[in-house]
Amino acid sequence: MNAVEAGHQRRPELSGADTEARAELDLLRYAKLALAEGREAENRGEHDEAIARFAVAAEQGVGDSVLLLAGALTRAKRFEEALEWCELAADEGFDEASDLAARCRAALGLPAPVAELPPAPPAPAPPTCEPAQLPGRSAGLTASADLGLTRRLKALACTAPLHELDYHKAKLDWVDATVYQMAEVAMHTIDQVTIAMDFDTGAAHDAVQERVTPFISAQAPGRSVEEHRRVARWVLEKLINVGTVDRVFHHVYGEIGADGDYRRLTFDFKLVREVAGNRGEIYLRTTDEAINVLVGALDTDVESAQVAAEVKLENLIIRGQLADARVAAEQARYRTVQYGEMLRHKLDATRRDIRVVDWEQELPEMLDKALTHIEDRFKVEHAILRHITQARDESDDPDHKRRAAELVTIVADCIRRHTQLQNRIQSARSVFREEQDRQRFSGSPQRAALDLHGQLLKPVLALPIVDAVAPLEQFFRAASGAQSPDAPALPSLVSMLLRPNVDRDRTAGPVVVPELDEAQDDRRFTDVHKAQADALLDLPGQVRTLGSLLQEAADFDDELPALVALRAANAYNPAISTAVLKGKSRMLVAVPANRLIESPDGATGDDLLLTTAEVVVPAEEQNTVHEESA
Amino acid sequence: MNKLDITDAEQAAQLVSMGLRGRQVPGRDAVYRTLVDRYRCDDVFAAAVDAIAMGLGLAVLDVTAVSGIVLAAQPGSPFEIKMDDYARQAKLRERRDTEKVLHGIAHLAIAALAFPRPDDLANDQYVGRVSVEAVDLVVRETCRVLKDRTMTETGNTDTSAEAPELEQAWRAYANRHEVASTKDNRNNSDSTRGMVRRALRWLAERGLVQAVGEESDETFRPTSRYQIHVRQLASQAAFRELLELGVVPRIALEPAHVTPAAPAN
Repeated sequence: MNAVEAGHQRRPELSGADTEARAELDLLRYAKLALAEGREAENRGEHDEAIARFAVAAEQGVGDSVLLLAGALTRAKRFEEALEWCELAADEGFDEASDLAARCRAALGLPAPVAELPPAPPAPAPPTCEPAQLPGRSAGLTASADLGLTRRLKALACTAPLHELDYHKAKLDWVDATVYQMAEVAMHTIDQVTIAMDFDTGAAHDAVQERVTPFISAQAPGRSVEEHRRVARWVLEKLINVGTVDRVFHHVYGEIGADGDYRRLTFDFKLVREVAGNRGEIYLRTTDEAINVLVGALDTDVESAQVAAEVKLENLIIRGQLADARVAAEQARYRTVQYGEMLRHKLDATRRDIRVVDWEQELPEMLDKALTHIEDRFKVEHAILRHITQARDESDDPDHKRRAAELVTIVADCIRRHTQLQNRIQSARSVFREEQDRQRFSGSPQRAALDLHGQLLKPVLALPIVDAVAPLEQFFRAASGAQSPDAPALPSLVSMLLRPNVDRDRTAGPVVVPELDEAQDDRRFTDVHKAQADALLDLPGQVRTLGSLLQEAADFDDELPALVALRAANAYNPAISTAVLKGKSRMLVAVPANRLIESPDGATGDDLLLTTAEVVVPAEEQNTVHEESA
Repeated sequence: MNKLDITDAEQAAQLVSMGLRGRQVPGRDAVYRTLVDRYRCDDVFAAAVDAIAMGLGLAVLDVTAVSGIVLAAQPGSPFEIKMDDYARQAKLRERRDTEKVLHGIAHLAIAALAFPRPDDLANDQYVGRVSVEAVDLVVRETCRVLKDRTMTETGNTDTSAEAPELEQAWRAYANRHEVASTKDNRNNSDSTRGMVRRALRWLAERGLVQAVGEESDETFRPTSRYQIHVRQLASQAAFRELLELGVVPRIALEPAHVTPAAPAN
């Protein structure tokens, strides 16, 4: 207890006077002990004991003991002592102390210090509003001292959807999801989508599910494949945030603004989004937020992160830490993809409307930067590739070898992506010139009209939603013309409403058997004609002229000669292979007779010699025919 | 020219009624063409048409040989189309204003893409092309530009959680998904492309745009009627609202109000 008394005897301005009494180290240790004891005492509610302990610690300035002491004194209503300690604490840089001091002064009825006031002299002036400013100022200082707070909060928010998957999996009624690590599946899904993302397309839903399913089945090998697929789909849908109207994850966070007020803001983000491909198909793409979550380098500049990732990789390879190197290489690849995305956006925008992209300053700078970037990356990555290839070849450890081989693949992929990016950049300027010709240099202005994009669409988009409603409603009303309103006729409406309900039969009624008329026989040649023609043209072992056949046919009736002539013409250059395929044994063959036809009913043309020939199939061909027919 | 008799009144009313049938054009209808010619030559007849339209709560924006008679419904007229009726069909799970604004943006963006430059809007011969994809992309790009601008101006683009109605329109649009897969591969009407698609089909039903190419291309060309609507009325009306809000700088611009078109020649 003597230590406590000593604490009471000492005044703050005397602190440090008796350091010579003990070795400084001992003193410090003792003070720390006192601080811990003081906290315990305060927790137990023994305020006097706590104050005594804090006083010892505060003498040595250990931790926040000065502040704790001041707080404890205030609670014990020993305001004057508290005020002294508060000022000491404020001098040491504890911002909260000024708040406490203001409370003490208010309790004592003292005015706020104007400048460097000595603590003692009480002034008769009534308390002004100045103490109220102090907390505000200190809050501002706290906020400005912690600039990264917002960024870190946002980064934290991006991981929330992944954690929620595991919280909510117990609620799934179609599966006992305890075996599945949903957050891991989600990470894996994001990985797969990111890797499949290219300049033009994204990943198809099915492909992603297919690629994630093996990972899921590794988690629960006993379950059915159907269930694994369903888990994959569920995780993917949760990442897209299906089920909400705008599919955005909202996260509310607080920030202290420039004026010192705490305000709550909403951070909106998506992880995986669906985009339309060229032919209307739907692809998945990961957002920047998701890539950042995945890479772990949260909220960083694209380019510097890339440089950092690659420097890290090189270091790791030199030190032979290939496992880490692989992670770094993958990060580098994700960064590359992200960088390409940025460029793609700009180029697409140029193609659509040249005015929305700043081609005077921003884009040329960006292209130059991107080209320099690619040049650097080519050097770095080729160097890395050389190193790893060497590492792969020299290493005896099969595990190292395998990992190095994987790295080689990844870095080669990075280089491929850079090449792709470079092609785009090289064609960018010609895209600009073409689009400029197309969009700008066509015709001269005719009469004044509004620039719909610049003067309407853009200002409207910049408005808050409540304000934007009115102009848009005006535009909609005026641009969509007039509609003819439906005018129901009252008599018909009434009669329709009053019409009694028809009792419906449960069956559809009797089946009506349709009466069918005989199909009219309007063929030119009847079956009798065909039989007659067949008989006439069956000429085994004999040769007859078409003319004589026609004469014979003319005896039957007027139509038969036409059929016979058609058959004969058809037999000229007959389709032998077809006959072979159909398995016919005989066929009609016609050859020209080198004279004109002599026909009674005025048929003209060359006469033909007709005969019926046997179809003979050679043995080997016969086999093939049989095989074919079989 | 001469006095009006009953037959003329009937013909004038007929012209107005043809204007109400959006898809009818003088090029395909001899009667319509005669009436349009008469409107353009006969002052008395033109005045009668204007008066009949006025009585029905319609304003004659223009009468041309290409577009026929272009009518605009005046506020409060039975022919007026209101955004509330249009957006009513949309699912309204979220705040109503947001849905209305998104639909309105789709319509405005269609016009902006159909007539990209002021000249195109002024030029009667200009024929534009609008596709669902392009409209969505143009708006998204503009949203991105606005986001960048907000970022450089304020350093933070997030809206206040306490006053969600102060969320800017661009954010609402950018946050909404552009497409969404559905189980039966139908188009999702909640997505921005779904909204644009609906707007274009709706305009096509009214004869304000026409589909070109294959149906899967989803490409449309604005008709002359649409150009007149946007030029004479819609852009001015919306611009006036913006002026009242003080969003766009007040520059020398002709006072915009609906005037019956003067008969040409």
